[in-house]
Amino acid sequence: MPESPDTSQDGEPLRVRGERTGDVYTLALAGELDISTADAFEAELRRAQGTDADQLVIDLEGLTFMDSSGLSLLLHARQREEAEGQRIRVVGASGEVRRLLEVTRADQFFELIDP
Amino acid sequence: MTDQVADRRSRKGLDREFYSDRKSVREARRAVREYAEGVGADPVVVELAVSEAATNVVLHAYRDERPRTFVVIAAAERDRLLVIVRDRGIGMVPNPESPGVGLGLPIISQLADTVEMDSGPNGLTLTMTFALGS
Repeated sequence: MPESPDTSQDGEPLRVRGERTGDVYTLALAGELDISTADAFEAELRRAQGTDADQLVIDLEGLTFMDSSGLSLLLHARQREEAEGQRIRVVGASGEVRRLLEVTRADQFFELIDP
Repeated sequence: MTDQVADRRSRKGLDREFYSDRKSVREARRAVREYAEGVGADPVVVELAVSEAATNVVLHAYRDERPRTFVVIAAAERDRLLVIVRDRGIGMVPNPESPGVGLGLPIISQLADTVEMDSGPNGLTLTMTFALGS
């Protein structure tokens, strides 16, 4: 079960946990996703999309903040979805994160599952 | 050492200067969010808009390695919150190496009641207003 380093101790408030169960690879995010933490998420995202899992679930329930730095990574992942042959589902988007997806109309690009 | 260069908070509002680095984006938006909550603006909307504005500064304002700064001002005026993000960079010019997808300003336009941009060779000043009493 790959897991990115918990960087919260040095001031980077994002935790990304990857877990594979059968054909489903889940990335669970907690904390804040912005320009200072986007690189950590992108690395895990690319790792997940590089596996042969049929489905990638991106769980945003633990996110307390996300801006366009995170959103652009989700959109890029969506663009790679077909080439990777891996279906993406975004779950757990609520509050501020959900608002960002709606304001940008990015919600139409993802299969959003309510928490 | 903190990224905060100066904290000149006054009764009238918030006036802070930050180094133009990635970590400062978080510090800037948190500072304005706290102020927005105190004066009755929607903290979620204001925080997101400031994060986008500060991210634009970090990505686009200064395209060399020298450490630079940007200023964030927030002030409540009657029925609105005024937020200004100002840098002394190169202004709004195309950036072919931009890592972003150009979502920042459209998002700000959706969130703020009004947005004004003053761009020139001495930098970009982004002025946003948000309703109070939400």
